[in-house]
Amino acid sequence: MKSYSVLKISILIALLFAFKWALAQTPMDSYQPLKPSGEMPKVFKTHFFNRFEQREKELKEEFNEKHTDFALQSSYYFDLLLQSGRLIYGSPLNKYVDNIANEILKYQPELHNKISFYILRVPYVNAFALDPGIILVTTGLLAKIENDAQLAFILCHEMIHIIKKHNIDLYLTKRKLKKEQNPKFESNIDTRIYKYHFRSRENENEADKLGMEMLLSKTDFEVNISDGIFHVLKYGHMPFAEKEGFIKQFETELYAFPKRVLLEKILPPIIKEDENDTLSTHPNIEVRTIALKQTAAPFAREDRKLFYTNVQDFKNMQQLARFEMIHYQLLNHEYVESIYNAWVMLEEFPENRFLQLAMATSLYGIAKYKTNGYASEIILPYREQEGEMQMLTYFFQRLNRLEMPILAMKFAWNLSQQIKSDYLRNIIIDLASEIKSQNIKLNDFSNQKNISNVSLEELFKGDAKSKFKNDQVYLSFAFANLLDSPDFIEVFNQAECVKKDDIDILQKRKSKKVSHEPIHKIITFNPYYVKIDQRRKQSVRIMTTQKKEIQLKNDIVKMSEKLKLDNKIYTSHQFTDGNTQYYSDFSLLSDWFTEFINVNNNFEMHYYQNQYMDDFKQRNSTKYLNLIGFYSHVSKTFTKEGMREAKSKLVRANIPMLIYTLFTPDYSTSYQQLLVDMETGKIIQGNSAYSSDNSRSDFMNSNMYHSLNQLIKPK
Amino acid sequence: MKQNIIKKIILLNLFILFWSLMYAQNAGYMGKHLFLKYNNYTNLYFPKTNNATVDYPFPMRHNFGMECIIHPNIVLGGFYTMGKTNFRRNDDIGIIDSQGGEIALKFFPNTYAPIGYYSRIGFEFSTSEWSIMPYYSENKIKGDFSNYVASVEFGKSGIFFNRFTYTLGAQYGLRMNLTSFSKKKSDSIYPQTRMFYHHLWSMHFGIGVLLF
Repeated sequence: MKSYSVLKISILIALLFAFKWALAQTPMDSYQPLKPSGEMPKVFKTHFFNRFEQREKELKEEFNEKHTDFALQSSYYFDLLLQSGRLIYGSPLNKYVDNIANEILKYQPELHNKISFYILRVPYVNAFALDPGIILVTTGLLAKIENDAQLAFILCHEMIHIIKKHNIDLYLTKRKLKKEQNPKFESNIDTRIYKYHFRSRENENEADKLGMEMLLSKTDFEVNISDGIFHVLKYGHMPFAEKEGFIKQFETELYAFPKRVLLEKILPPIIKEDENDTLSTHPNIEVRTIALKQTAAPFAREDRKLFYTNVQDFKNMQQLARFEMIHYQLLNHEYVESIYNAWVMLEEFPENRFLQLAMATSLYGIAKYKTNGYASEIILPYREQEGEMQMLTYFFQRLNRLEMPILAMKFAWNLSQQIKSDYLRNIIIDLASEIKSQNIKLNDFSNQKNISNVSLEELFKGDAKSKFKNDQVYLSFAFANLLDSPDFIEVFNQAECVKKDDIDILQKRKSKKVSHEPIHKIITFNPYYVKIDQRRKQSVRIMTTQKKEIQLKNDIVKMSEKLKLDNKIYTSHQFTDGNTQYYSDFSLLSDWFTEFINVNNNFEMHYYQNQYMDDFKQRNSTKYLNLIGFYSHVSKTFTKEGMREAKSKLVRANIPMLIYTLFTPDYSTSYQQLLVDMETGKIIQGNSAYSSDNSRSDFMNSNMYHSLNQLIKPK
Repeated sequence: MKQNIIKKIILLNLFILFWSLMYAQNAGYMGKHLFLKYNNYTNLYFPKTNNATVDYPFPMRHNFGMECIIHPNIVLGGFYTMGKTNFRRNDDIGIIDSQGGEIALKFFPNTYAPIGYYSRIGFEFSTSEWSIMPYYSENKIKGDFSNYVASVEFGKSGIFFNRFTYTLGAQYGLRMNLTSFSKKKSDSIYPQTRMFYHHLWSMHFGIGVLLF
């Protein structure tokens, strides 16, 4: 009997632990950046040329005119989004949006077949409809909406744009306005812009009205959502919430920030609702809100609801979108925004590994920019900020190049005691290097742990050796609890070695000679070709660009085979295979590339995205990423530069060249190739070339071949 | 004399072939280093005479040989060169027939050889046989002389169909044995003077094929 009771208690305890574990293990604990999953949608698999031809054919049937330009532009725009790797299908966020869309369209299967919904992984609060029937919802929007009903209205609004063919309507309006010639009254361009924007606002109003009617007539979603929706759209740039006490979290009894880094008064957010919308494609918020309320009023009913299933499902979705937003902000080096958003979310998920690492990464990023003298690149003027962000921006602006790495290292070290991560350890060592490079040693820090009846002034009275003077005295206590830790001392000492290596590498990079070992396996990411023709109104020569890009990919494949170089190419032109893993890898590389282009070239730092690249690198068994592309430019014959050149030729009495210069357009083609070590972000081979010719295939082939050959046979 | 020249040209081309194999380490154009080339150098010659007309108002030098990419930006070439031109002595027009060899280096400062704008330096050795029928005589006057010509050239070259190469340029040459300016006058002073001007400026058009 006794043993039975013990068993019962044991089971109960086990159940309790299991319950606690289940509660603690929210989906966010194992956050990974969003990936596409499932079968690739048809529109992703259809190549640009097929998409374009299909659309042209449809337009011909519908309007009795091909509208080639429109078909070309809309197909190309979608292609650019595909190339960004930020369009996602099959993720939990897609499923959420699809559920809401299914609810709206449950009685309209025909319409449902014509429209598809995808997620665009960007932090901007937006949703838009693309021709012919694609609706994109940004992760930024999903992170900010307050309930399912708001999203449902936004989807309805976008669906009306598709049903009413507003995209092509605007295209036709623009074309019509261009043709209008009335020199007396309407010749100036402003009139046409006003007319165009007026038409666009008309379309928006129609989408609002019909969208709301569609929502309320087909679903049971709540009527009173107008205020919330426009609040979300208007304040999309603001953090997730306004919360006080950000700076306090870093302080201890002795380590307290001086007044000079604290902003005394924060200005409230600026509310601009009744703006003049004459030059805007969208009507102002006040007008829209009133109109929507009027439309919604007749549909008011007591049994209407804000959520499709339950609040928790919505919250899970919203949290995932918010994590995504922080992820993007980190890639984009928007560190002040990411740290604040992560801190706000930590209230809900205090033990969350991703959020804590996001904070450490943000502090590390700010410290690196600060110590290298480029802080203004990532911290905007505090007066341009609103709400609590003003306090944060002021704080990070005022902390100097010594205070910032100390704060970042203190935070990262404390975190490393809870989380074991190579990335975290690397940034700690890097931060220690930054501190040491300012001639600060461990001896300069005090191990006094609390004040215990001694004032700060007294503590430092007569300590002439201290490097921290005046209002920086508090820095002495930054590592008060850590100076007894052998591990901390070891890391701090290790930093010196890393710094020396870094200097060596920097010195090597300055040398013009390629100094890497022969490389036989690489990944080429999105080889690009862009043709810009300034003589045309639509300056991007879309067809040429697309054709040349395919040619480029084929040439790289041939050259790699010839050179026996194992070169896996990730390009949007390969999506036609319908391979989701390939697209997922493309998306992952796109994230890495986003961070790469945001990194300041004047100093080195550890890449945040590398935490998610291990599996990819293992599968591809290489860490070398090849970036290659061409930019071809054609400008008008009679440009100022062209005339200047012509004049210079006139002086030299070089008449044939003068005539040639005057009557031929100016061509230029530039080439760029970079080979990057994905683990360190270091450029280990770079080639560039320029030609004052149209993009000739010999110039392109020659440069590409040399670059690839250089990988195998470095000098 | 001709056999000697041909021997030298063959040796020169073998030397270029050797260089091409030695420098196969550099990429060349898509892995190809050696070109078979034909160059045409043309200038203008319209002398005013009462008795005769010129046969070659656009005198040409034909240049056959090989070029090898020895460095990413440098091409080495060796050529057999031949050409005919007229010369004027008083009111008579004579013919000069030249044959020889040339060695040249082309530099592509901003691009990989052989594409883009280049500067070329060359050295030519040739022998010229000349003859003229004076109006007062029924016998031809003949003679021969050597030419040592250093030249510079500026132009542009490229590849088409991934197999053929073209070159367009302007050449400025200086005949080093400046007999025309010596005080010692002889019959050959006229053809030699002409050869000086023949090399002084020429338009260059070349075409070639990539071998391997």
